[in-house]
Amino acid sequence: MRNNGEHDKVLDLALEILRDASVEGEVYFQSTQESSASVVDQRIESVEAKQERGAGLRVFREGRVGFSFTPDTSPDGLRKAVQRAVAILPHVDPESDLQVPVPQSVPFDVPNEDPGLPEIGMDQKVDMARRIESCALRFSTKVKRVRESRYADVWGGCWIANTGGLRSGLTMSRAIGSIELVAIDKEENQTGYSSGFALGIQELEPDAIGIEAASRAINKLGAEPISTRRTEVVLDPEVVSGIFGTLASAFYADNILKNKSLFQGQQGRQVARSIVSLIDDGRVPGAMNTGPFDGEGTPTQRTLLIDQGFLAGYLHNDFTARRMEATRTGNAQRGGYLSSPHIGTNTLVLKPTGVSRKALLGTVAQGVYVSEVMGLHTIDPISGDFSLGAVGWEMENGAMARPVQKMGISGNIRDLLDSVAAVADDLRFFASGGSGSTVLLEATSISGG
Amino acid sequence: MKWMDEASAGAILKALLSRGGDFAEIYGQTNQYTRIALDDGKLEEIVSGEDAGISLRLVSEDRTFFYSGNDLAPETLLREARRLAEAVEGSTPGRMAVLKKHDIPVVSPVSVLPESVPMGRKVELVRRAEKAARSAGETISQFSASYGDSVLDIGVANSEGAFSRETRVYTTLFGSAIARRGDQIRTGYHSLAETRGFELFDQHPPEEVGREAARIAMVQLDAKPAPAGTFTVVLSSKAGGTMVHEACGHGLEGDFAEKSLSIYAGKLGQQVASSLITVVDDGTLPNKRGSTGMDDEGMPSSRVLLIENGILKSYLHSRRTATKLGHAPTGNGRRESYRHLPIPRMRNTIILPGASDPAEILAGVAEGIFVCQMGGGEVDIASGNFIFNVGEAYMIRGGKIAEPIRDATLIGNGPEVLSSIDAVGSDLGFGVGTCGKDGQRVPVADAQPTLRIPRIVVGGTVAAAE
Repeated sequence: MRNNGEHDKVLDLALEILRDASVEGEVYFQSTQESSASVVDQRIESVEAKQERGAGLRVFREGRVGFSFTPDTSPDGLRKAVQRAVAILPHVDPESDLQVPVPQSVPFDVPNEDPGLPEIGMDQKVDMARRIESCALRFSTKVKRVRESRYADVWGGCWIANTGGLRSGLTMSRAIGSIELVAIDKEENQTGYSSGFALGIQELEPDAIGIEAASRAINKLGAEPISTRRTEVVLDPEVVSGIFGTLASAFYADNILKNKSLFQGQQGRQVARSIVSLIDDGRVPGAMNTGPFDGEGTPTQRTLLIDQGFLAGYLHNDFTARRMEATRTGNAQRGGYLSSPHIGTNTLVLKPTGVSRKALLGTVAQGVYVSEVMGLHTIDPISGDFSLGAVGWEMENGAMARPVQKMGISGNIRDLLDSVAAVADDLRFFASGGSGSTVLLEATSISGG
Repeated sequence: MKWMDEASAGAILKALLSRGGDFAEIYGQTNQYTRIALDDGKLEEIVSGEDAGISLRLVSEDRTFFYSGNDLAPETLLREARRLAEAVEGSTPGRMAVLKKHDIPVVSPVSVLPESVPMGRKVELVRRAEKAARSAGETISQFSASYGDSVLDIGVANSEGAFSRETRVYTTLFGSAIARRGDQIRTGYHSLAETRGFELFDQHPPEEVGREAARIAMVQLDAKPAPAGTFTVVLSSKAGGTMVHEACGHGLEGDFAEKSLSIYAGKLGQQVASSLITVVDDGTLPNKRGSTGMDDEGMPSSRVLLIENGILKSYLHSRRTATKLGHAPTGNGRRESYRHLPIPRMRNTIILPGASDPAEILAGVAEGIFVCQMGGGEVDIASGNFIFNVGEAYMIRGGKIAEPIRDATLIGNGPEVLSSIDAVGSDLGFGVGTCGKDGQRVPVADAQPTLRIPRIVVGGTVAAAE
């Protein structure tokens, strides 16, 4: 996309500066554009355009690493950034396995961009935001207010090269629609949010987004507290996405090395019920975090984390793989040119256990459906303890009987993994980068009023 | 950043307003920062650099057109200004006042600028915190610390004539400790964070962070799982202010009020809390984490009375929401960086002290929970339902502090909880945090006296007898 050779110039220049400074090193160049349109009551509220461009530089010397960044990719700007990175070296502790990553290439044929996206005019973007809103409003007269109906997109690319001969580049695009609204009945207000994304604007489904947000808000109206109990619990895909997304850091190899994970020393042991298989995949078609390589240029892959209940693997960057004598998994991630690479997930996939969502719900005679949780940050990936606030439904004979709120769900992740009774085949990807399916848990304690 | 002169700023504003519009603004920012991370006994990472960029904003009939980027070339900015202007279909240029430098008061005096401190001394700080944590007890098995400093240079120029600059200095030290006994693993954390320079550590040596994080982790080892159910809760003034932040702060932000999205919308002059409760949001407290001389729209900082003796008095406004509701601006328009539009945000949010003796508040509880440290929280604005988790807490039995408990989460409804509070202590304690909203993170502080909530849901793991 717009391959004007600019990135090659920046990479070549940076490599030359690194060689002149007599250090091993790596340059990461980012150039992205974002735009968005927000609509309320069909009126434009805001239209935004953003451009972001810059380089992140890592230098390596005798097991030490220094990082700096610069928006200025002129020879002078790059030279100063390299100098800042080199100046850091004496202050950090060495790690014998810290080296410039070795190049490796794996062909990538997953669609990752819509080349037409940059040509889409603002009118079309505004129109998409309007359509999402009108779909939500049409769904029910109880939807009284919209906080924001929004279309946003991002396109561009990143390019990496290092003094060890690595050179890779990728271009990508994503178009995202979202809406946040309020349903009102009598004196009661309840919010609903939904989002969807695709590579380009044409594949977005405004009606699905609008209807989901509206039904989420309406479903919460009239919710009552429930009494404290132990009961079967069904988790919504978005809740599963949140819980597993937070728990994921327990699989990061650096946390294993530092003895900061509940999965410490558990390799090959049973950590979940045998129906649970969890995979991290960097190449899932249609996911937010899909791409050919990670923030260090290592090819992405499919990594088995839990295999039929047994701990099968961890998520690695180049350093942890070398240190633990494991295969690299392509999980070094950057939040743009300003940040150095850190281990993170690509897309987490829970293997379905052969039931549809409908069939799974049908098995619940008495239970609680959790549709939203608050306080995901309380999940402690070291001890595994968590304590969440929740809203959802009281379930009877497979159906949603009454909306409930102000519930608390507390426990330990290990117990939760042990109580997974079924995973439905309705895997969804979210614009947050998370993913999840409907999950049934055996008797779990719920606190209430 | 080399903030532009009046002439260049004037030319860009003029270009923005060339086809009409009610308001135009340039916001420029340089953030020079250092972050040092120590983990697992190793000085792992140091990041140091300068993030600089500019945004342009044009408002016409309540529609906002916004550009942001890190290409600071004057010709780029003029081109983008003209591009934004194209969205307005008028032929008469918008009104523009002559730019005039405004003096922004210094609310947080700084004596030692971060750039004057050699990297070696900053590194030593995290090592000292670590040493203190590891020597606090044999059960401490892991410790991580991070140091951060940031010098934020902000410039605002707008079509109402503002031409203001402010430099804000942030210094933080965060420590997180892990205690282990057998297969029990518990964590504790503590942080120091102010709008102050390196002199912060003269008053608060880094050992304080290490020791306190370690102490909390070790207390957790002896703690029993929290009970589940409804309890009387006493929040110590030492607990921080997460409760006020979640239970009413967010609900009083003007963007939610303006669109009637918040449970507090349309309730000015009404009773929304117990008459014992008075809440202010104050950006002018020297050196507090949420303090600024001006907000990120160039409005002078101030102290806003939000709730007085239980009566709702005001919302927190950005320029846009104040105009929309016809209220006076409050100086609460904040943004994470030049990449974002300003929105109404809290600064330092405080429940003011009352008349009760904190010891007596505790003594009056036959059975309940005493919270000494609150963690993060979250709120659903429309319903007012909020949660926050608890870092350090104890059972109260017979008016006395009894055994420690762990993993408790408090779940309540903002107006219900605030209306039910039946005792407000004469003390006051501050907590610090970073508040997230709409994908934007800004530094804040909260404070509250010792408070008693007669009934609130505690999400714990041990089911109460039914």
